[in-house]
Amino acid sequence: MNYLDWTILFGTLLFIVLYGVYKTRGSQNMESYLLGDKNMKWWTIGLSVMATQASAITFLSTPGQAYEDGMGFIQFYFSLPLAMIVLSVTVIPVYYRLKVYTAYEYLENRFDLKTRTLAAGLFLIQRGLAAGITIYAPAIILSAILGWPLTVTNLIIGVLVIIYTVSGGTKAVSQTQKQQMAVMMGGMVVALIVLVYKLPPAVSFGDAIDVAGNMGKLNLVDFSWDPENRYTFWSGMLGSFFLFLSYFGTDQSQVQRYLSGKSITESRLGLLFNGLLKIPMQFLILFIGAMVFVFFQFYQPPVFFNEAVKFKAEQSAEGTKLINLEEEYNQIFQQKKESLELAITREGEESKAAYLEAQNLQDKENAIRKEVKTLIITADPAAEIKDTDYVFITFIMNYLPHGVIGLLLAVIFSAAMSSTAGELNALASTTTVDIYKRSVNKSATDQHYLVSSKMFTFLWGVLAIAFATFASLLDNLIEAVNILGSLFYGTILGIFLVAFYFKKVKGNAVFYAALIAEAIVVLVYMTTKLAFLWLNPLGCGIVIGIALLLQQLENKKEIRE
Amino acid sequence: MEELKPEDEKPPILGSWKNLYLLLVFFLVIQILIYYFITISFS
Repeated sequence: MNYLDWTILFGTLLFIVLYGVYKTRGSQNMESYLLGDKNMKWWTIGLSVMATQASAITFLSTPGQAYEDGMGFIQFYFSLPLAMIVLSVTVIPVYYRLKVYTAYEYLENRFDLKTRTLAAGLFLIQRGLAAGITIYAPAIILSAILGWPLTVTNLIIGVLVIIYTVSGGTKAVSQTQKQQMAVMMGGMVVALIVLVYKLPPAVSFGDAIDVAGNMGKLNLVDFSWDPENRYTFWSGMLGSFFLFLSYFGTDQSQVQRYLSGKSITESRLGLLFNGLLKIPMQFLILFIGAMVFVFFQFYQPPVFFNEAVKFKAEQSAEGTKLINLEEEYNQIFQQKKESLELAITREGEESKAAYLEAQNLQDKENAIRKEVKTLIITADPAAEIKDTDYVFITFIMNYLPHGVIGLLLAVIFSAAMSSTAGELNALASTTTVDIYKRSVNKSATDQHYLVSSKMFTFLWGVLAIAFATFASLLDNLIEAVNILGSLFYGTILGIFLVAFYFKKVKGNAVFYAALIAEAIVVLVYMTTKLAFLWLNPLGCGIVIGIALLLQQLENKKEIRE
Repeated sequence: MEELKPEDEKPPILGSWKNLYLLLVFFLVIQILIYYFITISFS
């Protein structure tokens, strides 16, 4: 990086922060701080909803996923527009009618205080930990690439977010997310244009599409019922539909974004805007990954993209074997490059034969990468062998021109900040409204609650930074937090689905059903090998089933009495 | 379904919320078809 990159990176971030603070200056009350005076327009809401979901890992990891496995991951998002429609019809009018600050406030109205407190508590634990990971996950990658201490990267992300989120609340979050989305989308478009421009002169954009397609990266839609295929249309639709309903309908970090709408119309249009644009946005990010793959068919890629981990393994007893494998990998790359150059210049059967040869050589390359990962693990059992998160950042740092590097790093930091801001804002709201105001200090002034909200925002920010800083001390932390999310999300969704669709079920039945469901989900997780994704519908289904049963029993008991 | 205020009864375009939802579903189907066409072009 040079001075131009640093200027663009820090200039962009500082402008966004200062703009957010400036635009939200002036007197506030609790409603303006937590709900933005309820006057947000639909495009602000839509961009805010998208920015809250799109964390830095979206931009670091998704291109790498397309590089390795192709673009099939897009199928995961196909159910999102349908989930937005369901929420527009059912959830938004309910939240508006009750004039709630949080999703969990609705649960007290529908059931009772203990159910509200339970759901709010589950959210605080799960989202509190996730906020730390939102900072940590990109920080660990950026630190490795830029050579910065992890603490510094954590602090840059965390402190900048705390400044404008504490100062301006929901409005500051939404305003800055508009700019952050502009940086993210603009940056990715620039990256794609530069990437295509940097392909060898003999490789046109059409040739690049051909190469990506023939090498299996444009495998967007798979209608088969193959259970061994990770991403199919059906697993995407079924697996993600309930997840999106739960995330956008019951997770306060998203609910808060659209509760700040001027009206039901604005909130609905905001969610539908998200439903319209999310899939094309993911297509762009995945397509960039496919094009990075094409780029690395003509420019030598490293055999393992996490250079720091590879270097460490090279210094070990496995070093010689590793270096030999790398040489073999580089030779196969040269042969594959020649095959592909032939494939794009010939036509018909000659071209097909050349592509077939390239595919065979790709399989050999994949086998070598697998061997390399085995050697790395042998040298250091604690090493992270998943290197797809480093593919795009390696491309950015090594091949993009100065200035664009700074812009792309601004994209990644913006994404981290936009997600963290949405999370901190939600954590503070839930802490203030569902716990502090409702149960601890019930009759203070509006000004007192405003100050409390700011304090809770600050505290959650500090906790998130602390968690991110100490995260590296714990093994498999990210996996642990993902597990935690899967363990709780299903139960929370189950509570809300009962609330919306099973009107005859009351507070006691759903509360005890949630506790039982949570216990069963934890037991299933500890004693079986069921994939995490299935814990969501499992928990959800158990809550609904047991709640209905318990309500039946309670009704019979009342009749007898 | 909850009752809506008059200003929320219909969206600013297409005359009804149902039409807007159908439009979104239409765009989704078109996208899936385009992506499927790209997929089968290379299989």
